[in-house]
Amino acid sequence: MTKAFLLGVEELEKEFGPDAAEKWMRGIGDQLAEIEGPGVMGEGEPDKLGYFTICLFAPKLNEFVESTGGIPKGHEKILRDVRGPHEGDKAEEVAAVNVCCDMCHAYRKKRALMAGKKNLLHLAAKSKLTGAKEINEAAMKKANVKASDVKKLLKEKDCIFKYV
Amino acid sequence: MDQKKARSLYKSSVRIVKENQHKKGGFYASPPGTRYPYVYARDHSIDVLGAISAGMLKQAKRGLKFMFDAQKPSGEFAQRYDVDGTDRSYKELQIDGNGLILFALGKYIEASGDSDFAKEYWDVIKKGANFILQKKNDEVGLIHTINSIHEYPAYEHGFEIYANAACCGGLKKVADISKVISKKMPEVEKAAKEVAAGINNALWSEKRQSFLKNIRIKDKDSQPLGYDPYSSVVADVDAVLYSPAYFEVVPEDDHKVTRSVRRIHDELWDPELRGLNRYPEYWGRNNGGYGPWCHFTAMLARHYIHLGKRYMADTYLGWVVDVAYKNMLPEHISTVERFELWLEEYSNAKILREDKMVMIEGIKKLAPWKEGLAYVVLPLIWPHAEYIMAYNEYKRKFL
Repeated sequence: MTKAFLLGVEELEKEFGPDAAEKWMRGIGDQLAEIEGPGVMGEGEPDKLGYFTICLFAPKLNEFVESTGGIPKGHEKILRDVRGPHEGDKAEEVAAVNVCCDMCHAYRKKRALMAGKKNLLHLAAKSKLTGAKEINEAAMKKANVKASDVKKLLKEKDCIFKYV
Repeated sequence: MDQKKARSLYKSSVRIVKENQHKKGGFYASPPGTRYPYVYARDHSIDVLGAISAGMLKQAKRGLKFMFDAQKPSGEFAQRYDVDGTDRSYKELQIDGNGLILFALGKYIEASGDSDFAKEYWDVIKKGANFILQKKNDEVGLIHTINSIHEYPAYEHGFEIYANAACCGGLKKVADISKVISKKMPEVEKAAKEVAAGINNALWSEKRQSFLKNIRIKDKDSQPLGYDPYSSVVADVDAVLYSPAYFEVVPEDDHKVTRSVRRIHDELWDPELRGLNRYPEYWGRNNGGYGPWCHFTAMLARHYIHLGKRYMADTYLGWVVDVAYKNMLPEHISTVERFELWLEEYSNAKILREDKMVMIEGIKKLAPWKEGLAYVVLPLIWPHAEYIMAYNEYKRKFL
């Protein structure tokens, strides 16, 4: 099922382009949140500095990439699209390191909003597979957290965020 | 059993359960600032049962209300919540949570006669029961789960006995409530009967003379089940082979229960520390060191109490009384030697998470450590609730 979904993402990008694929994946995140209901996810203290030691999607994504012999071009295009540049508040952007980050963020943010939180800021992420790191300086500023704390944590963790 | 100490532990247990209920109704699994400062559906439900047994019906009602208000859109009660009722789960489905809450509700209605409460929350109750029905496999008549009482999918993913007993007990209570408040839900009564039959047939081994822990099945809808990639049977002993009696699915004096309890005692009673282990050591997940658990020992004490077996009831409940430290009950105890064995294995295997380091520090700080004992998570609220129920039944039967 996972393999079929990730191949579907690739197919969709081929057919409609990265923008549409990105929007489609965010929509999936939203719908999953509707099904799951309100909730706050993550280890640590998500209201101060939350994290996932292992990215929720990394093990399956890595398995997929290994089985297909590399990251599909469509996934890379979507990832580039998520990373921007975009207009608007940079702090609201996703520190994406894989094709599922945007969907995951939409899912977790919607669940948080339903739980009465005002926002979810994605501060940083890294991919153990590719070595890619993304740090959202504007989000850290908006979240009022020290960049040094986030960078230190990122050495040990895959994904860092704050619920506000 | 030292009766004076037993009474004193009872009083402390009532106080501890009361003090660990947040003002919004949720029972902490362990006090704020300790290892489990969340409201876990499973622990919370047992705490509600303990409150009912202690006559704290207001607290029990608040506890049920907390959980009902926090129900997920699907009808599921999540693995755990924060004190505001926000889902903070980090594990996959644990269907026994739904069964437990509905069972506790039934017990509350029986004790209080407060059927208006059930009327008020009927939609939630119905949704909770329907969520269980969605997980039922008609081929074997059992409920499918990923996690159950030990949160250990390697042994619990499938048609697991505790999850099925809890769900069956919960469905039976919902069927009873529906009659009291004149709501029609015949499908629930029918499903409860089918699950009970599944427990008595598919999860019972005549040759082993024991209930079985689990029928491993990956996907609930694999049909036929024999073709599921996980299809296998876990026949290992587990303290919760007793659960069909605990949830009133099979009578305490039924030979299936008495034979299973005999097996539990023979294979899980700890020869060195006394007290009851939860499952065999070789299952390999023995955080803090392998050793006996307070709430499983108190749980099995109730079987001996129900059957009027005073010597065994004293042995089991007396152990819980003896093991209390400053009138507080730990999750489980171990020896320093076993603790070190666990630590070595987990360290070498690279599976020692940082939250375990906090647990390790906590264990070493406690006075029993100097006497060669590891007390893991002190206090845990669940064993206090379980002790309240067992002690009240002991008192009624023997004192």
